[in-house]
Amino acid sequence: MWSELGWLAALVSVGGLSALLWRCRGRAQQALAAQAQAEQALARLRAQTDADLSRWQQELADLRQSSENRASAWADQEAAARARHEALAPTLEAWRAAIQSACAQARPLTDGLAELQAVQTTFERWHEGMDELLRQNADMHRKNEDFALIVRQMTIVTLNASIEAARIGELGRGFAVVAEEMRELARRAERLSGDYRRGLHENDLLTTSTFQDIQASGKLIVGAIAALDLYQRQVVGSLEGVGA
Amino acid sequence: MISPATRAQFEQLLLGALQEGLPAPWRGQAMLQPLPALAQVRDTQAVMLSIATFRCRLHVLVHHGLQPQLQRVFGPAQGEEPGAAVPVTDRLAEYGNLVCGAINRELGRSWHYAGMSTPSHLTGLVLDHLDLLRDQHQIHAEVSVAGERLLGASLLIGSHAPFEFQCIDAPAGQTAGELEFF
Repeated sequence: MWSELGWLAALVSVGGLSALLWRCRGRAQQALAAQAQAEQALARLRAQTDADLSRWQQELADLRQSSENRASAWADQEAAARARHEALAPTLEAWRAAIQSACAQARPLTDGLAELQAVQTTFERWHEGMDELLRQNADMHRKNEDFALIVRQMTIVTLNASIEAARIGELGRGFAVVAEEMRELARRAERLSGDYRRGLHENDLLTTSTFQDIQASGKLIVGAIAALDLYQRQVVGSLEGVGA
Repeated sequence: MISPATRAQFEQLLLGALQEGLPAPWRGQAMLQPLPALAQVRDTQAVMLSIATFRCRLHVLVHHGLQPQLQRVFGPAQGEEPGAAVPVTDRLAEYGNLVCGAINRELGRSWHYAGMSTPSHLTGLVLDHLDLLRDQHQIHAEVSVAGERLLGASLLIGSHAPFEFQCIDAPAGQTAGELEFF
């Protein structure tokens, strides 16, 4: 009995071991298949990587070549530009010298224009003189009016004298003649005063016209000088900026 | 010394300046008329200004008789305090200043340099002696408001050589404040 059990146990063990070995063989086969697949994938990846590397190396070589070509072209252009600059150098130098000369020549003009602006004080002096002339004119008007008033009073006095002489009668005849002479003088004085008044009005017009002409012309000249000074400074500023 | 066309330009300039210088409420109501000569009856007061350019000299005279209409047009502005009222004679001097300034501005558009004087008050009797100034051309005009004569104006032009002048049209929308006249 124990030997039959033994054989059974052995058979069971063998069967189990066989099953186990069969399972292991299957797994090993699966693993081998997976390994084969992995190796194939790795080979493909290696091939792709080699191809990419080769392409990149080619592109890098192309880029290097292109860069060298560009550098060579720039070097040629730089050399050409340097040659042109060297050819232009005498002209630039002459130009700079001409600008400096123009700036130096403009300096007296600038100084002269600055001095000319002081002409304003001359106009102010003329203005004061004309002001005084107008005051004199006004004073002469007043004096003429006073004179005219005196002449009118003289006329009245001589009229009164004539009336008084007529009242006296024969004795007043000499006095009447004197009064008439005085009245004639008063009439002449009145005509003179009228002529003088007209002359004063003419004088007013002429004086005012001259005064205003001087005033307006002064502003005209000062304005022109200021504008010329400004243009001059702008030109010199531009020249100095270019020559720098 | 100036052509009829240039004289016409100056006449137009004077009439425009006379209207532009009036107080704003009266500009639309003013009648401006050129005259062949000064009126027979002389005004009693005058305001005189001058403009100097390198080509010519101009005298601008605004003459008036201090009639009541002047008080209405050049009297205190609306809202102005009575105590601060400016005499009508001074307002007329300001008016003359504005008229002359408008002419000066227009000349400045064509010619770079021009100078203007300050106004001077004169008696109207000087109007009998304008020929003494030896300005070759005299242009006269009068300003009326509501059918009544307000004042007269004269523009005298003198030069030593012939010259031409034409007004330049101002760009659209341009407005001038008083300070820009001078």
